[in-house]
Amino acid sequence: MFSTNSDTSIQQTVTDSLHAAAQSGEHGTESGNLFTQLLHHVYDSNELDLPFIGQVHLPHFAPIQIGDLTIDVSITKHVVFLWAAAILLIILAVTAARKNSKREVPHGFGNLIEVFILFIRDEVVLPNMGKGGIKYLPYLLTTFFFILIMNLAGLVPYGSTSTSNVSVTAALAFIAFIMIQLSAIRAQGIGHYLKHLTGGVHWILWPIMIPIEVLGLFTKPFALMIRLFANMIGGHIVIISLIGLIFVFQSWIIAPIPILFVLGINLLELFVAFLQAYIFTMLTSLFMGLGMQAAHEGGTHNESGH
Amino acid sequence: MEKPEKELKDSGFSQYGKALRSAGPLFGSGIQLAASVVLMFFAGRWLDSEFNTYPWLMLLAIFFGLGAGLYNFVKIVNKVEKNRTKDR
Repeated sequence: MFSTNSDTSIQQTVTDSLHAAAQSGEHGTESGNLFTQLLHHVYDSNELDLPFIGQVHLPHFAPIQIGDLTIDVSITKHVVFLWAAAILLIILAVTAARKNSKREVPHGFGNLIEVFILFIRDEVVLPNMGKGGIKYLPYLLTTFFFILIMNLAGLVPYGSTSTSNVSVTAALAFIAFIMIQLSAIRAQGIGHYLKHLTGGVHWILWPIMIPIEVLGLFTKPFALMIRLFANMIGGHIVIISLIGLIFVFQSWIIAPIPILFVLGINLLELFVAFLQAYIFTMLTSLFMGLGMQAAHEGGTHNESGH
Repeated sequence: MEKPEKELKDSGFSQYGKALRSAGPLFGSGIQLAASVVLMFFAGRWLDSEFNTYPWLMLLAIFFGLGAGLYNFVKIVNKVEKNRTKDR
C-alpha cells in the first residue's frame, strides 16, 4: 500500500517537472530531448548509420516464442558489429598466421599480433594456470582479441561497441563460466570437483554450505559481465554527455572546453578498451587456474585432514 | 646507482602484470558481494511467485545471499592474504 502510494507520487512529481520544463520554453524541452537523443547513440537500435549512405534500416524478424519466453532475433546495430568483429578477427588471425609461417622472424603486422599472443601466453596463462593451461590458450586468445576488437569498434566513427550491450557480455561470461567449470572438472575429476563444493565441512552443514559454494561459482562470471558492460557503456555516456554540453549551452564559444575533455576521455577509452579485454582474459584464466590448482591443494588437504 | 639487469626487466610491464594478478581476485570481490544478494533476490522473488508466499521467501533469500556473499568475500580476502604472505 505504502509503496504504491510513494510510486505514484514520485511519478506525479516527475511528470509535473517534465511538464514545467516543457512549458518554461524551448531551452528546457531541447535539453530534455537531448538526453534521450544522446542515449539513443549508446543503446542498441534497428538502424545502422553509415558514412555517405545515411541510415540503413536493418531487417526486423518476428519474435520467436519458446514456452513463456519471447526472443527477438532481429538483427540490430550491435549484432552487426559483433559479426563484423568476428569476421575481422578471422581475417586478422589468418593473415598474421600466413605471414608468420612464411618468414623465419616475424615482421610487420605478423609481429604485432605475435607480441599480443606472447604477452597473453607468458604473462597471463603461464603464471596463472601453469603448463596445463596451454591447452586453454586458444580460448583465452580468442576472448582477448574478440573483446578488444569489439571495444575498439566503438571508438571508430560511425562505430558502436557491442560490449556495451549487457546481453553480449552475459554471453561472454556464460562461455567463461562453462570453461571455468570444465577446466576444474577436467583437472580434478568429477568426484573431487563435487567434493570441493561442500567446502570441506561436516556433512550436517552441507545443506547450508552447498548453496553458498554454488552461488559463489555464479557470482564470479556475473562480476566479469558487469565490469566489462559498465566500463564500456560508462565511457561512451561520458563522451556523449560532454559533447552534449555544447548543445545544452547553445553556444560555440563553450565548444573548445568539452572538445578538450572529450579528447582526453577518448584517449582514456582507448586505454580502457585494451585494459578491459586484458582484465577479462586475466580473470578468466585466474579463475580457471584456481579450479585447476585446487586439485593439488585439495589433495594435500585431504591427506592431512583424514 | 646502477640497477642489476634482472631488476630492470622486472620493473616494467611484467611487474604491473604481477600486481594485477595478485590483486585480481579482489577486483571482483565487491561486485561479487553485491551480485550474490541481487541474484538471490531474483531467485527468491521467482520462488515467491511460484508458491504465492510473497514476501517471505524473498526476504529469506536476500539474507541468505548476504551471508553467502560475506562468506565468499572473506574467503577471497583470506586467499589473497595467504598468497601475499607466501610470496615473501
